Amino acid sequence: MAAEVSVRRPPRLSAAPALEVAGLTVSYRQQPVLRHVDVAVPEGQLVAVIGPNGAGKSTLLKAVLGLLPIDAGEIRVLGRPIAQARTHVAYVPQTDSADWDFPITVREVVLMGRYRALGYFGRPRAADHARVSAALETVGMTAYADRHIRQLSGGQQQRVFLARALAQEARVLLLDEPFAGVDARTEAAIFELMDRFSQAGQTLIVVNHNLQILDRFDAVLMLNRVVIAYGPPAEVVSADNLRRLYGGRMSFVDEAERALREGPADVR
Amino acid sequence: MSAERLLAESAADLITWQERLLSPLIDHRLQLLCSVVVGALLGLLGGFVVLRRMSLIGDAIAHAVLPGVVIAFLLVSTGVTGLFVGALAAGVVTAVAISLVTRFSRAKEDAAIGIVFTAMFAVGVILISRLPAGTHFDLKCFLFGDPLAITETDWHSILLIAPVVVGTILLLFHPLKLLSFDPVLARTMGFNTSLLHYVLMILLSATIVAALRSVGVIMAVAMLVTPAATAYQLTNRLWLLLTVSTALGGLSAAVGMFLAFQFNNPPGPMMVLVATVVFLLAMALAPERGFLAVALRRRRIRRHILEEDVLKMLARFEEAPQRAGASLAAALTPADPRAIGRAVEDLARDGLVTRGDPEPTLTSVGRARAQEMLRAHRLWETYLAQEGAAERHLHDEAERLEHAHELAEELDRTLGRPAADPQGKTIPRPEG
Amino acid sequence: MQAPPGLGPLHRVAVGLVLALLALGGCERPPAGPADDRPLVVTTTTMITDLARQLAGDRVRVVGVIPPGLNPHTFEPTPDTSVLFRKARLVLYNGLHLEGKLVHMFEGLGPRAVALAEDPRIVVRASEWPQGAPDPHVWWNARHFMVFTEKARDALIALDPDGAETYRRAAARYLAELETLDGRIRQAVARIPPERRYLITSHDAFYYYGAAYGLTVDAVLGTSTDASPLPLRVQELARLVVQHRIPAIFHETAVSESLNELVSRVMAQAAKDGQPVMIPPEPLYSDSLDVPGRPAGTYLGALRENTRIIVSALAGEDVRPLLQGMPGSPATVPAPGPAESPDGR
Repeated sequence: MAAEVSVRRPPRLSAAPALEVAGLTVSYRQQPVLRHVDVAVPEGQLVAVIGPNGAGKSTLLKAVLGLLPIDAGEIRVLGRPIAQARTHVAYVPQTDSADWDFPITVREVVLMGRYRALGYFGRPRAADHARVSAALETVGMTAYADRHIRQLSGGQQQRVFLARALAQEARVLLLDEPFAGVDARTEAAIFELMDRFSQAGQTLIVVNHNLQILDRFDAVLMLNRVVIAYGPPAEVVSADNLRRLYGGRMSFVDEAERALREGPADVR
Repeated sequence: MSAERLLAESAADLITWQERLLSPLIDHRLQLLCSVVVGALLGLLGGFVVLRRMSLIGDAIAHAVLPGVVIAFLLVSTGVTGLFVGALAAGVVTAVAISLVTRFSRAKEDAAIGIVFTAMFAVGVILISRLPAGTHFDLKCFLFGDPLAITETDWHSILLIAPVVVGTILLLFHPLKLLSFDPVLARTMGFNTSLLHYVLMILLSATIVAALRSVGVIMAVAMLVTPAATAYQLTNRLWLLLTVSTALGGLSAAVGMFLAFQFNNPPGPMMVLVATVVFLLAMALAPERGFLAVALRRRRIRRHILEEDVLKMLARFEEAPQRAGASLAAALTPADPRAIGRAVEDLARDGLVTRGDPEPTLTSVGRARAQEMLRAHRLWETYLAQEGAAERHLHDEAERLEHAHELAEELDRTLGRPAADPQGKTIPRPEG
Repeated sequence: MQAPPGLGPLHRVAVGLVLALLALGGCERPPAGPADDRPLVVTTTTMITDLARQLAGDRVRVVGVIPPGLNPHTFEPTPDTSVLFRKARLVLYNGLHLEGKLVHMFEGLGPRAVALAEDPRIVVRASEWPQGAPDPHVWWNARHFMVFTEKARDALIALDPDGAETYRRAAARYLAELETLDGRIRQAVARIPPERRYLITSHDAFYYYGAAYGLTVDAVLGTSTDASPLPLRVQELARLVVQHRIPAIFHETAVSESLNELVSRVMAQAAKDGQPVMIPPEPLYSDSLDVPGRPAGTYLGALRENTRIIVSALAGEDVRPLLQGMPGSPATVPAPGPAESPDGR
């Protein structure tokens, strides 16, 4: 049952939602991590995804990206299945998932955003380099363009990843914990960038642990294996919902799942 | 063994060092060339292996090609294509098996690697024992190589393999770069990372077969890893890393060959030793990270600190002339008097002090600097006292921290521009 | 003031290393003697080295690459070996794959390399193990060695025609000695009671000797020490020893300890089954001669020593007088010494 969301900004571009997830169920090693998730995100929205550890937030992102097999349900990006919509989706991973000792410069990392378009055998051309420069300019990293990525701070690394997503000319950006490990000043700077992207019509779905800045998002998705709530922060972020989100309701389900897997106590 | 020495002596009489030097170029050109190309190829592939933290897998594949090679040997004798196909098949089987074991058991990747390649190797050894009587498979040669035994056939197979390896890497450069840096991103962009991974494994298996003759399997792993690790130490760009790694691989092979002839040692291990020595040199001499650079930097910092301490002490002498009877050396113990002398010389050269008897005197520039130091010192003492440090530690701590004098201004502001330190001494104001 | 920690121990290690390298670099080989421009003849096995020296005298420089005590089946070449082969004007080797790891080097030398054992006059037997491979140990038949002599002589003459006369004379003399020794060996072996004419050794190196002089030969290992023994060999041989009441079996020089150990096990097994067989303290010379200067340091000497050891063990008779007074034998006959342990290889 997709929740209708009243948005702050009018919907843009296509009629199809940026991201539409219906009845999504994903398991990992026979344990369900996401169950019957229904979400529809219109374009141009800045959406936060919050929930406790193990709630399936990263799993949701990976499922949307087509990195995980799904048990049931459907995922459509801009009205199309992910396999056909890859160009339009950019993944901005956690900064510690990359190898910062790798011998490349900032510019080369951003250039990787163009690789999707180049395919296996293509070579970057002037137009590609131009987009890279523009992306660097947008995130304010032009001064660092030819520096080795090893020399960057956490916030700068995050901006490089954003620039990469920008260079990819994606319309939907999935960000996995972009605020992890940065100070308040950097966090504000990153959020400002995200806001600007969203103003430009891109859809950003941001997995986030920080509850303080939720009111600046267009919508909040509360996820703990199932959708606890979804809607504008003013409506959705309440003490009640937070309790349901971080509380122990799911522990019974966990136990039941385990019992089903291993057999009832008297059979074990 | 005295018998061997007998031979060694007579050979040493007969062969001049010039002959030793030229022999690889004149009489063993094919062997030299093959070894160099193989070394270069291994270096090139090694770049990716090291970046992707796959060194252990490289080792595994090198060993695990044995059963493939033996089976090929059984079926097609020493036909070169047969050997390649056998090795490739074994290489792929190994890679697949490692993935499967990692996925379906608790074993982590390193255990999976150990399990799979030792099993493959064991199968290979058993197969060798079952070879029909008369066929001879030299396991020792497989493991350690025999560059002197390289023939035209080996050269032809290397000529075949090298362009394939280089070409594939050039063609797939960007996807491989992406795969090595951020495999998750590669997948999200729709690249088939498994396919790319297996392509690398196949290239690796093929190159190892080419390397079998010259360095043997065990040394091939070293040539795969060591030149690449050296390049990793020294470079900051991927294409540069690959170029350096390839060059070092070929160079180690060449130099190793020449040294082997000079000292009458087996060439394969000599090549590995050369590659290792180069790595150690890089470790020591790398700009910024190397031992030498670090040591030099430390020495520079030490000298700088001593100079600042001299300036400060001279300013203190000026402040309290009754203590001027003491000498710099006494006041600055435990510093080495010679080091103090050198510091004074450097300061004099920079115009901060004038040499004098018995102690040098500050120039006006020197005095200004010394005042800066004093200011920093007393500000730090004030700050530490405020933060609750015990009084008896204030001086020593401040002695250390004062050399970070860039922070003095910010410290001053934060403390509210105090006029005196906890001991009542005036805190100098900055000029201007 | 507190300085960061100094270089300390690392500094000392680095200085030490540099000094060590300098010291090593300073070592020089003693200067070579007066220039030697005689043609270089390179040989492989000690038997062939001895032959070349006997024929060539001082006209050429003879260098053998396989030192005494090392096994030619497993001898591994070093870069020096390769350089020597390339430098040589003539290479004399056995062939028939005896020098297993040098085969590719001979191929690269063309007509400069002469395989003394590969000749239509020498009938080569196919080994039983490794099956089908040619048995290279042809030289222990003196008549075969006479073929070696002639081939070596011809090669030397082709290399150095000016010395043709020297070579011919030396060869003629040597052939005569071989002829005489050949006859004496037959006489010596005839002293062994026919039912005891069995020669059992570590590896199958004596077939041609046995075929020429009237002994049945068997061994623990096949014709190449590079292979592994078949299982149950020890038991088979022990049964043979018991069946024919063989009084002695033999160790060899220049083979591995473990191989000779297998012969000892045959002895133990046979003794258990009722045949008190012994192993003489002196091993036989199979794939290598002794060090030059010792009685078995020449081919003739080794052939004589082998015969003496075999016959005295099997016949219980001391045949030294029969073999004495031959060219190549020492003026006084030395008493047999304690068993020499073969160089483990």
